[in-house]
Amino acid sequence: MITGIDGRIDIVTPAAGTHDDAPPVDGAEHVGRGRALGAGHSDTRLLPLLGIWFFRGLVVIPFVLMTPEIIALILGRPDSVAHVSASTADVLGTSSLLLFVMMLTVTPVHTMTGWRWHLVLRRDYGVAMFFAAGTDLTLAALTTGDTFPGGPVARIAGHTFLVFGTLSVFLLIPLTLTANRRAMHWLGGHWKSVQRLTYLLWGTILIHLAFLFGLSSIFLDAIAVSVPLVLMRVPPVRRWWRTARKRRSHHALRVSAAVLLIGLFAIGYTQLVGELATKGSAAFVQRPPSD
Amino acid sequence: MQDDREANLAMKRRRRRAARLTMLLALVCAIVALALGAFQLQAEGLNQFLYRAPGVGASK
Repeated sequence: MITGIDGRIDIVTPAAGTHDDAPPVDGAEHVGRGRALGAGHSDTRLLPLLGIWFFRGLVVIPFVLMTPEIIALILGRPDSVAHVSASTADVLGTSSLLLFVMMLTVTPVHTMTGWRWHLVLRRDYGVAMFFAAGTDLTLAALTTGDTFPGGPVARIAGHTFLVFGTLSVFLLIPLTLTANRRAMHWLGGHWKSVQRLTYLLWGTILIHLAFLFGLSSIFLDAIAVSVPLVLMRVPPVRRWWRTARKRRSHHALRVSAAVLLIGLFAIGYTQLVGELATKGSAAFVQRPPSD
Repeated sequence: MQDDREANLAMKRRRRRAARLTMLLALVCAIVALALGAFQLQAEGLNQFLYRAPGVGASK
């Protein structure tokens, strides 16, 4: 039995050597009036529905912020290449990281709260990240000739940090291709093993940021958001939390741990959002930082 | 009964093949990205490949 990317539960033959340790597949996940709240099922409750569409709406932000510069580029306006070159990594790169972080947050939120309504967002954020990162890579290959002389290949692989950025985008290809229900049935119990490529992607993204920023700014923010997300994925921690939540035990300990973990996460996350807000608004009015 | 078991085995084999194919695609993607990097490393030299001037790649 595996929980799908859209939160629905599927019964498939497990792959040899794999075990079902991923999120929430226990049939005991009931909410309120005793009705199972599968996110993919027709759920007429207004609040989760509004929540889903609110969080889904966030995925368009990076594209909206870049639209004026991209339109100017297509129309061949003066300085449009330089504007896109200056903005693409700051806006689409940071957005891709934020979308990745939001995708990774879905499972820990379930572990902590037992909610299921938001599980559908895991796929949405993953696919949105692929499009944001893919657009970033494409625009970088087309427009960053001012900073990376030597043609499109040099612009996406001419430095250590570029290689790991490109590697991360390329690793998103199999993940995105298999982020659908048809692929889940095609792969059966192996689907989870394939989706574990996400952890490799997590590593390559952190290496990309380490090469790009060193031990400062965005790299440290990425570490700050990663630590709680990793901790909540450690199997004994996840099992303990789930059991304690169901038994309604260790309340004070859980609240304290949640405050610490969410606090650390928020420190990194707010910095990343602030970075996107600053650079994104500058890109939107076509006045990127290098102007 | 026998037919069910054979169908089940065939499905398992098909899924294993599908998983191998997907992992192969991931491997090819990774190799392509690393090969592009290796090509650039050879073309530019190690210093140029490692050094990042401030503001290059990101405005910070």
